[in-house]
Amino acid sequence: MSARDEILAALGGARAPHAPPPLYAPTRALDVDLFARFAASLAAAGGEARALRAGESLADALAADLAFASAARVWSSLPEVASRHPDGSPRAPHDLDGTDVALLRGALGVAESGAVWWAPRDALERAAGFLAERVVLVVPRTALVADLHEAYARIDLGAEPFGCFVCGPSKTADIEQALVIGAHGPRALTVWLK
Amino acid sequence: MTHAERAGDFLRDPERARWHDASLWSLREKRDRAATAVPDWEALREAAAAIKRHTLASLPFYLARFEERARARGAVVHWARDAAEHNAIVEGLLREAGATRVVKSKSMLTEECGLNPWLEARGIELVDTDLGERIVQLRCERPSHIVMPAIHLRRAEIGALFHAELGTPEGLDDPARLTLAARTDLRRRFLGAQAGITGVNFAIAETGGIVVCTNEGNADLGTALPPLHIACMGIEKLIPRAADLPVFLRLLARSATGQAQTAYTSHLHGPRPGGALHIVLVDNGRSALRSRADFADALACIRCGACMNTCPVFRRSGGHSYDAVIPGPIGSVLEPARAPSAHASLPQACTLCGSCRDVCPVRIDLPKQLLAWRGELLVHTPHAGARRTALRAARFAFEHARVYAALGALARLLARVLPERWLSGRWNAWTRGGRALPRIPRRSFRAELARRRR
Repeated sequence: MSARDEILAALGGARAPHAPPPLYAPTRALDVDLFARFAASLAAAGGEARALRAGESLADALAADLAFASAARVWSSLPEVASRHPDGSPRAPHDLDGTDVALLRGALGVAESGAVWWAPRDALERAAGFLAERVVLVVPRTALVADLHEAYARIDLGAEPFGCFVCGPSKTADIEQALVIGAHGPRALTVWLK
Repeated sequence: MTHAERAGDFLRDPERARWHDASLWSLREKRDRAATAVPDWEALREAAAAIKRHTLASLPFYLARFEERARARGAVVHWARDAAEHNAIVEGLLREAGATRVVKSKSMLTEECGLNPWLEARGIELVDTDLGERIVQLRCERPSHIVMPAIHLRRAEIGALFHAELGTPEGLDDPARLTLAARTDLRRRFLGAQAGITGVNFAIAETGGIVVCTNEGNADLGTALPPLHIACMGIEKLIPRAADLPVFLRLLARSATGQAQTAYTSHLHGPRPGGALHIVLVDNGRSALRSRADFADALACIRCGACMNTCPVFRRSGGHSYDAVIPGPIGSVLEPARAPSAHASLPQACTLCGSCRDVCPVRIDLPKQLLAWRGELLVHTPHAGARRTALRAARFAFEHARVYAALGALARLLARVLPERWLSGRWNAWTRGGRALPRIPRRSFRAELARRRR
């Protein structure tokens, strides 16, 4: 017998399951200021949430960001902001090592945890989101949800081979539990709500 | 060696033991703050327990469905009966791809299977990329905790290790600068790796996808850069539906570290274009454990580590005192199932205080299982015959009030008349390590009560 058949047999064979438990229905507070909650959760995770002012464009807001303005290498997934590739366009994921800022499009934000759903369109964008020193995620203001239950109800899981909840910058506390921001991936995360 | 003997070694440095205790307790406190901030916490635990129990009951169905759907998405699914078969599959995949430089993110399953020594012995360089795991890998020891692998080490020890291994300045012990040194070294290894191995936190039967949670982003760099990704998982990691995920994700990081969510919760559905995704489903004793009615529930564990952080014994004895892949309360249930005689002392390390059951996000009744193991493992414990006789005698005394009273009177008399030096002799475990015997009262509690009532 193959390993597969032997394991399935040891488990009693693949009969139809009993009815699964009903889907969990969370109890939610109704009058939550989703942006305030999201911003507080993200701050607790080491990131920063910012909202564009009325009439302000993302390009304007980024132009006022000195660290972004002086960044040499920028990966942008956004049509309104140009990428900066002084060494030529990246061809392989590895070429994105040394990226200063990755500007990515987030699909939705989760108020309870401060996480943003990000499903990169290709392998380059996926690598940029982890290799860049700093990540900026742009999320529509109307795409804030209360919790993960609501988030999964809206996500088309599996539409892309890779999708990720990003909740703050990369971090570790493996040395005496001292929190260090910037373990392997980005050292900073800003989420712009527009 | 028994757990008690190894714990004795750990306690030889009382200052370190105190620090370790406080360090883990602070994690428990973070977990408490995070849990109380979630209004439906108890309902979530209830739901998580119900989903896991249902999935385990129908496990073959969900495994077959997961395999079918993962394949439809372009992943290759492998099955391994035991650790050796798992290691051989992984080795074969790496050889086929010509990969000799491999990065791995945290996976307790590969620890369980001994994948690192297996591959190293066959000329494949495997680098653990989780910072804590990298630290213990460089020290040639095993993780002492499933979430915080290097929690037993002080920063000066890690500084000395990095000085020797990574060339950091002598005496440097600042966590931020040590982390930066590891980041720089590991970034190079990520970029040079030909394959990435990860564990799996959850596998979704409905979608054929897997979910990996990390704070460091190491699983993501290890899968976004090299073209080959091998994901290794125990067969108990299944959940039926994508809509079940939020129940577990809301519990997992809060229970583990008090975070609302890990920095990255990555969902992988099939390989990336031009890449390959292999998923290895491993039994290695799980189907046997599932057939044991009294222990099957342990398979619901989501590896958050909360039971370790709260355990008064784990905090004061250190993870290495369990001498097991998975230490602490859940390890003391799982490890004896794998090797009863080697791990027979682990269930004895429990005080049955129940704290682990109170924090477990999937409500595993750990004390009940530990108690059940004690009975079963008695034959493997040292002096099993004497122990059995002593327990039978104790039972007789507890069942016969007059015998109990007479023995109590005799003990109080002996405590008064025998010399202190003899009472605190080597035979008495209580007074080992300089602990004094409590003052023995002249009367029994019952006699004292009767006297006061008069």
